[in-house]
Amino acid sequence: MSPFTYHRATSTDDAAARLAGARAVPMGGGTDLLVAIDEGVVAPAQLVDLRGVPGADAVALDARGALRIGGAARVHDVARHPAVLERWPALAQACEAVGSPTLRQMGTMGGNLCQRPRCWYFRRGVSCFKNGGDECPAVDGENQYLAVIGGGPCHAVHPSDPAVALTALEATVEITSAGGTRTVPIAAFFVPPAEAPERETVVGPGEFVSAIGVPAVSAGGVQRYHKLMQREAWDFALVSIAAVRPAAGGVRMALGGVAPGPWRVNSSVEEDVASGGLDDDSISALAERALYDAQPLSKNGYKIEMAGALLRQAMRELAT
Amino acid sequence: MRLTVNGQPYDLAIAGHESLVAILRGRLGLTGTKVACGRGECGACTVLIDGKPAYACLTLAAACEGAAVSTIEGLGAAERLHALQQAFIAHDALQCGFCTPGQIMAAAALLAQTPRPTEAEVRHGMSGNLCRCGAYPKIVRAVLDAAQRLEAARGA
Ligand SMILES: Cc1cc2nc3c(=O)[nH]c(=O)nc-3n(C[C@@H](O)[C@@H](O)[C@H](O)COP(=O)(O)OP(=O)(O)OC[C@H]3O[C@@H](n4cnc5c(N)ncnc54)[C@H](O)[C@@H]3O)c2cc1C
Ligand code: FES
Ligand code: FES
Repeated sequence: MSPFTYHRATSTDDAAARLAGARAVPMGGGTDLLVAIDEGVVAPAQLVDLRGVPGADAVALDARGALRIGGAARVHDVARHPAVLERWPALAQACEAVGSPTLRQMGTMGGNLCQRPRCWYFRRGVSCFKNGGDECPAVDGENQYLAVIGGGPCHAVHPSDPAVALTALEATVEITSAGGTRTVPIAAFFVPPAEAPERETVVGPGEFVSAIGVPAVSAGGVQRYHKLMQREAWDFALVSIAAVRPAAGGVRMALGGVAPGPWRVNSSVEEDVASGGLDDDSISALAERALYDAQPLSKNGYKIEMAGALLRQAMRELAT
Repeated sequence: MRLTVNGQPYDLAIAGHESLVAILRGRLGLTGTKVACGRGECGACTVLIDGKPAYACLTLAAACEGAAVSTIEGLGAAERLHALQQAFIAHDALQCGFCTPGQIMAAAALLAQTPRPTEAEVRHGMSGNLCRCGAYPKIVRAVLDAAQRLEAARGA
């Protein structure tokens, strides 16, 4: 591993000041960062550990019933939080689906949203759009795990499970730097590769995710997270889905594993699901409409079928 | 900096990029903790940090200042094995034994949180530890047995 120094931030201001330094990067559990450094994907001079910042690991409800998740909150603590299990079960299920029990105890929510894609060309140092190259070697290569929708010029998918649930729950992400704090809706947090293929999120140098906000939901309703993997545990999603139908009405669905970021299903499809009265034929037609723009690469057409199956299953579950 | 392992404090000069497993094995001679993948994909290096499981290959030693690190060496002594160690022997829950220290530390974390796990909970809770020899069925039985042994010891 190339040498770097380590600093445990003592406050939000201290973290922001340190991150303003040259080649300083934020660290949570290090479960992705230390591997990425080992692979040569990033070469920081200083790691700024955010886990010691007072309150950064908290998961708490505010007076209006919204959820605030600190950037350094552990994935495990979100998965098992009583209020999350009760009010935001799709998020609890998505967090419980991350990696292994030990990775969930180590990994933070900020690190989870900012983890780098697992495309093996990128991770193994092959020249590609993510590391300054000008072509995607996966297009004519091994692309079985890559995007079927919204990709290009880079086709890597974002590996986060929680991000998919947070998209269906219309969360917001609070981003802090020495210059202050801004809050962006999760739909604007992930950057499409057509805009900037070298990065995945709007988090710039010197910035870090200080919190995630999840809007209040009324009790009741239906929420689901389903994840298809090559084996039953400890693997990234081939395809996943988060589906939410609050008791107050409306339907929101997002797919994981199919696009460069969480893929929110078209609102006209969501509205038709919400209006109800669906049968097998209309469910199939809606699933097809949701994937209308999907275009497989040479080896990942199976993902469109998987996404269709998950969409149909979720629509049935939301109807009951 | 001061690193506390199995209750014993060590004063060490540690560079920012050194991993906990490298320090445990290379500097402290605690070679019970194994390394196989070095990238969070096998669990051989599992230790406890403040009672929570962690992969020591993906943990910076410098980040452990002020924390209590527990390794397999601290769990039991040769003359007085921990219930998990006894159960692993009784059920022959290993073949080559390379994954065993990590399996036992992960099981210790699981039983601390869930003292009376169901079989499904054991499978889920142990899903971050691979066994190349495929001793899984016996590992599950050993963990369930250890839970009973610990419960009996608490009751006694
Ligand atoms: C074997 C394996 C399997 C995995 N399986 C899954 C899975 O199934 N699902 C899943 O979702 N994830 C999976 N992961 C990814 C796992 O690393 C994340 O889930 C974990 O939550 C990352 O959090 P961390 O705190 O360890 O991040 P770190 O490794 O500390 O950081 C990851 C990246 O984010 C940056 N960063 C860290 N914190 C912040 C912050 N607050 N603000 C801005 N940037 C930040 C770092 O600079 C780095 O680039 C897996 C990882 C491994 C090794
Ligand atoms: S050696 Fe640490 S997880 Fe494999
Ligand atoms: S006993 Fe050989 S790897 Fe588990």
